[in-house]
Amino acid sequence: MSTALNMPWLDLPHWMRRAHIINPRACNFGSLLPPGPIAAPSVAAGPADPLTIVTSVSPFLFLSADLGVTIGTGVSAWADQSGNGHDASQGTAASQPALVTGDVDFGGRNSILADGSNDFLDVTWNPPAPGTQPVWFFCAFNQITWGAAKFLFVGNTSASSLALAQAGATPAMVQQNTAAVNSNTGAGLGSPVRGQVYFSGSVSDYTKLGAVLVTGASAGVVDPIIFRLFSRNGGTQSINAKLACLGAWVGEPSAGEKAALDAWITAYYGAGVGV
Amino acid sequence: MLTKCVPGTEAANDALNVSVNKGLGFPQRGTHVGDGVHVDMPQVWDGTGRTPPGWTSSAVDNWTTSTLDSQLPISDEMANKLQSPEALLRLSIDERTALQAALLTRIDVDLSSYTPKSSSAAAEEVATVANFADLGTTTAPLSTTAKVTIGAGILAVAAGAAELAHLAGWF
Repeated sequence: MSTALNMPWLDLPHWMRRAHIINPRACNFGSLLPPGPIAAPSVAAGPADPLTIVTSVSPFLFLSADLGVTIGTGVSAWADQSGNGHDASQGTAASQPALVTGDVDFGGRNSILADGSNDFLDVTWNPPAPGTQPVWFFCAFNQITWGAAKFLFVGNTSASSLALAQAGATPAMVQQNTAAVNSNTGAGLGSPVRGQVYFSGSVSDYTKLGAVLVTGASAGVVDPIIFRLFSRNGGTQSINAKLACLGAWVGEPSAGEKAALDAWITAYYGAGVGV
Repeated sequence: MLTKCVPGTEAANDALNVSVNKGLGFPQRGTHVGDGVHVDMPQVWDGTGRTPPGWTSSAVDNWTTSTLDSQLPISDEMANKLQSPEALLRLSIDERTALQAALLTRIDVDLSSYTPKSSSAAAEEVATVANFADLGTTTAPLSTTAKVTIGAGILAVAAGAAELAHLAGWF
């Protein structure tokens, strides 16, 4: 006698049983079932989930090292997943950062490693001035080494517009849109963390690196003219850091959405990054 | 940090860089890896104009402080590759001679006071001013002088609505 005849529910898709369309415990099959509750199937976190988690504000861009990477010598292009075409690229071999596949720092996910010498990526995005349109960044990164005036991202080649940069003393990072403010020591060297940076052109600006929130000072209202990852000038200001993902949205998500993003970070990259 | 470089004028090192890239086989098309949306990477590129996303146009940047002071970084590893039979076959006799002579002039240089040409605002300006087709989408940092030059040029060639709308954001 076949299993299908005796236990037809076993042949049903898992989602049907989970949704109680057919509940095997309500069908007198109790003696055939293993003891204990039926565990709901775990839903795996995906690399682009932030785009569906945050819906109250629109995305400017979302870059994930697990999606849309092009290898030349190093990373020659990194495709924006937001649908806005704000892709990153680097046409010079010596300045292309490296793709780290299966990076243990990020729970076995990929990351992009900038060497701290001359690596950087140009993003085809001219961000708005925070005084006219706020920008909220969300990222997972790891400072490998630290040096003053080195940039994880920046909106100018010769000025510190819309920047998250190493500045002050190890391992501090500041947000900067002319003014270097809200210095934050929450991202220790060699420790992968999540980061949030809010540019609104007001005292509501903040940095949140790991669990450390610093706010109260405006970074300024200067209008950026480009957007660049890992360096401002491509040379002395190149950072030595890994970036697993970076998203930017038009304004601040809700508290619930931010909590959901933190939960996603933990689920996708591991508990260490979600601290 | 000291880097082995060929010193020279900006123009001389630009010319040398052409031979370096030719010898090493650049430009090269990249390879998409992983899932998700990828960049729109052209299958072929003639090596002129802006480097398309996903392509690698050159091995190294020409680092400059002025038109008279330039350094072309060439590591020992790269120098060895440039002297391999495969690389030399890609070059003319004159290019080989000039390249091999240049490799002998390499010295250790601290590049911290130099700026790579491809990342400088001036380089972006030159590329943008030279290529009006990019004006509808460029995010290049431009000086006021460059904007005025481009604005005059745009009016002269009757730009499309998209370009004019984009330019309006500059002023």
